[in-house]
Amino acid sequence: MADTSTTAPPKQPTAADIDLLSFAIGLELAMIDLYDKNAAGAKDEAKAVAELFGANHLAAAQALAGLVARKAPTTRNAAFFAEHAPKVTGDAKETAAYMAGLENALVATHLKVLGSLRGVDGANLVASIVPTEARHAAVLVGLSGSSSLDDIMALDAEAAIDPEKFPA
Amino acid sequence: MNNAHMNTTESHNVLNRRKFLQSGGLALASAAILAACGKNDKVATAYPRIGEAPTTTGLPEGKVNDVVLLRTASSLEWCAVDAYTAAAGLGILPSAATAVVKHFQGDHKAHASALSELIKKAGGDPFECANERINELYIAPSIELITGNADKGIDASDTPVDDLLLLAHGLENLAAATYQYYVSMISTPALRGAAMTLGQDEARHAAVLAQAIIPGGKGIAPSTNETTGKANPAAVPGAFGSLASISFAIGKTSSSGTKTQVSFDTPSLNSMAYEYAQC
Repeated sequence: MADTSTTAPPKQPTAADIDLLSFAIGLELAMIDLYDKNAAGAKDEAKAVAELFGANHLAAAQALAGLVARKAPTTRNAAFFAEHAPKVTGDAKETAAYMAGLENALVATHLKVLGSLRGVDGANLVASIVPTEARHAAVLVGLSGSSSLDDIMALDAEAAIDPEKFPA
Repeated sequence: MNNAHMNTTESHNVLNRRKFLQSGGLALASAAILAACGKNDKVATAYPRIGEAPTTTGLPEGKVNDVVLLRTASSLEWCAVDAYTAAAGLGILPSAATAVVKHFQGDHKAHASALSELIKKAGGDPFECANERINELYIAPSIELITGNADKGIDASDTPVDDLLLLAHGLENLAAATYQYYVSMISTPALRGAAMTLGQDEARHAAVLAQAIIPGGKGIAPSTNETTGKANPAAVPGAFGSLASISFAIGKTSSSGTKTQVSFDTPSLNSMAYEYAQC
């Protein structure tokens, strides 16, 4: 009989976990601002979606910050925002497609983070954020005008955001 | 006077001891008779006795570890494969929905295959069939509510296509919630990431099906059915993945305008694919 459980994992985030979760918080805060920018230039359904998804990222950032506590970053990932903000503008379908790509990048990043987190509390929280951001991506692909299931299901692990390129 | 009194007391005590010995003797005699009756095995075993049970073999100890959690997830993937086969077999889905069913079924087969590899790497034996308990508790009764079962007095649904979409949506949400829930029990970080890689796929499936049930903007954010007061399917039902029971109403509409409420919960200790379980 296989028994892969040897030592119970820690509940609280470890020091290494804190670094990973802090990186995730910076990205979530950047996504809030990107959706704010998106909503400001959008109308009707696109605006409502941008506001809803921005609010979900805010909830994620707040929950992660609650776990990380005093060491939690309070500002967005500046490099990530600067890279993507100029492209979040104009045509609703193009913006939806672009934001879908960013949501997929966040999902890939969170999955990578999840695969490294030792503490169960952090893992549980990240695991609860991942499905919502995957749903965001699926909806945004639809709003971009694509009905291709391959596009909706597309998740590229290589799209995970590099902390070297976008430091926390 | 004193002597007389003493004698009286003594005789009274003697009587008490005598009574005690007599009653004790009676008790011993009764016990001996009862014991003698009990020893008469030929008489006693000729009739059924209360408390007599056949010998049983205990189940092996079911230990929950990473392999068991992955095997259970695999069993759920096969449940989804079978459910989509059953849905397509009814021949009532429109062509667009049939294409979705085929795609999602392929995804679930791929997930099951990925899980089998993970299970092997973790030192376990893959579990490559549907979870019987989930089938018995959730899927078979739901299909019966849609197709009807004359033997059980269940009428067929008056909205079978909508109900099939609701069932598929419920199953995808169940799968997504199961992966999310199991992250809290999986001990290896890499396996948690691998599990949620599959779980996020199920969430995307659920989002697509929610949009098929309520198209456009109305089907994206959470909303409430004005008639029933219950939550509508939503592509993005909340800021976090939910681990609550998954409820939806299917089956024939009653005279009061209601349908049968179905509720799914993530597989728990009594529905896991333990290492001793075989397909």
